[in-house]
Amino acid sequence: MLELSLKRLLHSLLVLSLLMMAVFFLVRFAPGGPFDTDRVLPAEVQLQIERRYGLDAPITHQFGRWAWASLSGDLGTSFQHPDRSVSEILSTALPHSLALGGIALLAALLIGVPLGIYSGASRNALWDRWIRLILLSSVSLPGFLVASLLVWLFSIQLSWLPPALWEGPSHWILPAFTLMLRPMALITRLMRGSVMDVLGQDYIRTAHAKGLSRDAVLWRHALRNAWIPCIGLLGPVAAHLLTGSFLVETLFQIPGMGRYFVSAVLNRDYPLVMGTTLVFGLLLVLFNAATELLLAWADPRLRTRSSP
Amino acid sequence: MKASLRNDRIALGLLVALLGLVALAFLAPWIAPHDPNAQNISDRLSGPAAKYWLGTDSLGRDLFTRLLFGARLSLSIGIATALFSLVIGTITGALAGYYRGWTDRILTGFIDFFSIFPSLLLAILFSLLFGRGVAGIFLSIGIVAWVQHARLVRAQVMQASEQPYIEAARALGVSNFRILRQHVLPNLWGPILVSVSAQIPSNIMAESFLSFLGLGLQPPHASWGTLASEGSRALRSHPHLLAFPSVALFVVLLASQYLGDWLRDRVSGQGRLGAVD
Repeated sequence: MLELSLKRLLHSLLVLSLLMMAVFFLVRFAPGGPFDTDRVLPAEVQLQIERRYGLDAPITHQFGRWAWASLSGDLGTSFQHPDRSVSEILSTALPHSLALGGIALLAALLIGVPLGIYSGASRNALWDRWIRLILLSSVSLPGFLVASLLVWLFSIQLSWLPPALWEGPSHWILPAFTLMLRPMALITRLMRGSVMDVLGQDYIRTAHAKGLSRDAVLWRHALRNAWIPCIGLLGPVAAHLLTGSFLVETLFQIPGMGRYFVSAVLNRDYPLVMGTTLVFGLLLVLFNAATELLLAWADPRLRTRSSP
Repeated sequence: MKASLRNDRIALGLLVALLGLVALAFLAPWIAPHDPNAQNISDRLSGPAAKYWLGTDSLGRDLFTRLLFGARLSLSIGIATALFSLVIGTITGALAGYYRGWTDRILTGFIDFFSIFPSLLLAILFSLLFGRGVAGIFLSIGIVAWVQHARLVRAQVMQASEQPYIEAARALGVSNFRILRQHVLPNLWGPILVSVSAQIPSNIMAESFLSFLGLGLQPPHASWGTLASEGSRALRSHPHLLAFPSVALFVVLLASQYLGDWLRDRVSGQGRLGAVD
């Protein structure tokens, strides 16, 4: 099992490096450069800028240089912030993003799992229809609407919570809530379906037949199997948290990875685009590998299967 | 199918609302009360009133008119990208799933590539290459969505082509192309339709997400994302500028996702909502 996971991890890393190569070429062939201004620069000035940032070398050469340097942690200098290296920016931004994502993930699990269990186990048709509608609404709410509503209500009207920045626990609440909403709905939805599925199986009927109470059947027999599919959801949830962070960090002005990525793309800051993309990719690959191990640990039936 | 739609009143109501909105969007040039780009500086930032039903923006343009034209753009991008997936994704998915071989190897390579990064991140990176015009955003979203659909079709075709009746057809000497077209694909229209209809809301959402961040369509274009983005700058003083476009977006997303789920439940014959997107 461990060998298999290791193989898959290596495969993902290989795919990631090919992907980085693709992104590198894509970014370079994109129209418009970071130093485009409304004025036409004299040719020698243009050349000098390009030489300063190594943009005059052949593109394969440029990628080789980038890849080699990135292995030793040197991701170049940001175009927008000439006084700071990309690695420096990333190392200050990453902890903020991890904290935000971690809080949101924890909140989504703490609310989503019990809600899903409860709604999957209850057999009230009216309540069931409402919970479906509520879940669907929270998946359909655009993130910017949620964030703006929260800011409008809690910061502008009530002045209870700060509308932006990242300086203490009171600053965490609104962004974390915005970021958590959609993953929470996904988790609830899956947990609910999974509980309903498991409760319909034969071994549950057996447990009922031998006279166990409903609670004992649910907690000791049903949930042991019902929570396993939720692990498989962690990958998509991580993806939601990542893309959600672009919006949340930009709106709430949190100096994290998502905000730097958006501003780097807007300003065609190639080194920073490459650096943030690389870190995102590494995080996702590691996260997926960890989920796979967790899944194998939780469900012995999956250990012998050769492919996912 | 018709009878069950009549029984589900929520689905029926949402379908009517959605069709109404599509009709309004389609008819925008004829029914809009103002010119979407006409600036009326003396009436700028007015609230909802008789002359301007939903108020005006910071340049005095009528918000209701701009919402109608925004609907045109947002809905067409959502539908056009889904059609793009339908055509390209179904063809490549079917070829890869049926013939295996090199088409399959190329497609699975693509799928591997696209499965590491979330689709919105990839769409943002593609938008660097294709630009931020209507065509650029269409391509950026379409290319990412296409692979997801192809992956589903591939899996379905693979499964279907192992059925005994396909083997029987092959034994009778029916050509591969004919088997694919007449025996495999006709059975898969249900899942294909479900997958494509699920793409419409997620692509509309993607467009508004990109445009809101400034990474999608740019201001002279009015889509719901750009309108919301413009509106969010005046949140403190004029919240209606953000509220109306976002609510329109919310209604469309809710309606189309509900109907998409409804369709999926009908097609797969199960009455539950457990499956993951």
